Amino acid sequence: MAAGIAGAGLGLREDLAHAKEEGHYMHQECGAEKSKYFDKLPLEGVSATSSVDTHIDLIDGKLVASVQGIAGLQETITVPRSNPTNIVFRNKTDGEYRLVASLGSKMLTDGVKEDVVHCTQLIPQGSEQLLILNIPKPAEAGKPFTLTVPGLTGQSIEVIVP
Amino acid sequence: MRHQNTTEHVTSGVNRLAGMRRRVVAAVSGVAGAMFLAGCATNAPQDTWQPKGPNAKIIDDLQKPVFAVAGIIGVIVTVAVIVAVFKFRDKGQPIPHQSHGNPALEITLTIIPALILTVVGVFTFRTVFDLAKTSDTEMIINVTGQQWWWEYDYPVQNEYGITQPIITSGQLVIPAGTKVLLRQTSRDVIHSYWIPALNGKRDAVPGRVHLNRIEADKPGIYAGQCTEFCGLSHANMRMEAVALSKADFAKWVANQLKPYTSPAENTLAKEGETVFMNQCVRCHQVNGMKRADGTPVIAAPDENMVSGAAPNLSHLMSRNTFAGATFDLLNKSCREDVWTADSESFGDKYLSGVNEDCLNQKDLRGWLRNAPAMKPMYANPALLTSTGGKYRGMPNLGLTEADIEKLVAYLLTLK
Repeated sequence: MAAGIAGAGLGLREDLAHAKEEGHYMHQECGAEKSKYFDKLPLEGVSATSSVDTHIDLIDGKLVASVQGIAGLQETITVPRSNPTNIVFRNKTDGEYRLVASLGSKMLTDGVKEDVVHCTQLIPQGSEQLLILNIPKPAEAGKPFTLTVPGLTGQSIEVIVP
Repeated sequence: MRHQNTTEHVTSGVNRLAGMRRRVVAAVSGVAGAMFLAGCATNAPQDTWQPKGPNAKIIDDLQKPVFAVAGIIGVIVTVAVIVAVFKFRDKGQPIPHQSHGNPALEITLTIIPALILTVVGVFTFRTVFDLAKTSDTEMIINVTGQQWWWEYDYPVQNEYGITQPIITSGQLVIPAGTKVLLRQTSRDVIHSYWIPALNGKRDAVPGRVHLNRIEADKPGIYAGQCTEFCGLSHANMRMEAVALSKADFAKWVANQLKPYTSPAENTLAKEGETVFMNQCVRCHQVNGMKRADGTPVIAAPDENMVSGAAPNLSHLMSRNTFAGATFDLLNKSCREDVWTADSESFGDKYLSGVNEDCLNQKDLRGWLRNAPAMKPMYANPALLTSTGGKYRGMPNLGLTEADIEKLVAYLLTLK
């Protein structure tokens, strides 16, 4: 209750109302630059610890994956089809970075294909954010699903859906 | 006269009570005898007292002494109660001397159970930590539960020749003598994975990954089933772990990685492939299958199933079961031949898969004809409003007998 009163006093509720009007969580701008809406007030901590499938760490500019139950760092991860998979992105590099999941494309009703991209907010060094993947289909041959960090070239984790 | 009627009435009541008591004793004896005899069954593949791997052995080493101690205490308590009931029953004797409190006895009766439970607790904790060990894992398999089957996917592990992910269902194939770590989760509700001969139960919970280690000493088939009530066909959610020698496991991997081969033109199987593309790929994936124009066939179970997935049927005939391991793909004699094989010959027999002579035509055709009639799966289209028209299991596709003939011919090519 005290936190709620303090939050109201600091104007957070007003801010959330403003965010809702703007619908800024619908603006997933997944580039390297800071987004006016999506990157506003990023959450920098994750409370989910026991149900994390994979940690994706950005360490000194290198992207690596630690999968629960598998020893050592991985460069590919395998996730079950149509199953929510919790991934925590931890930025351990100086600067603000986000994790982007590029999950192929889906067919819209008018026959047009749309890229499926999910991303975290930009988070500073020492912060972490949760990204939930739920991938209904395997990737097309030659077009693997990837986890990348905009602004860093050559760093990619392949996501395999059997 | 009235006194005589009352006496007859009382006598009749006593006789009825005596008769009822005899029937109750007979019924209890019958049930107890049946339970005792069931314990003597030799064909009991899910017997928890016959560990076939080190993890199950760890549990067995705990449960046997605990069972012995509990059994002895149980017998002592039961005998004491029976003796007390009969020896001190009301026979019209005077009420014995009443006393209150006996500190020495009470302290003794508190300390003894506390000591027993402490000893059991120490060994139980040690067992729990032993079973949770994962640092010596040699192989990883992802296990996903779903109403009402299990999916297994093998991530890339070059040391076992798994250069691309392998996906299968129903039967978990592992190399014998290898510490395998199952990363378990669920797509819908809570399930529980249990192959008694290889390890204890471990829940598969949506949104969480639970680790479960199994290892089989020798090649063979080890049966299990879901042990967390998960809906209509919970009792039909079975699984089998198939342990192969390392050499045979390498052969199995090589077969699973073989590219898809379309049946030859102008064959019944080719016609079956067309039926499969028109009907089955709405949910079932066969890796590598392509349409006539060369585009890959990607199944869309997410559009038709509540859980968003259906068993991948690539290399279906390399398995011995289907429909969540509920039914055998092998007919009775061929199944018996595999299940009763010794460790040396088991691998060859299992790897020979299912051919036309050994196919369980009756159940496979019955399944294609009307799957929900064989395994309850909430598949009535009239009752799908709450799921937006999506199924929880395979519906009745209304296939003709000619289509079924073609499909069976096609499925037999999925070696």
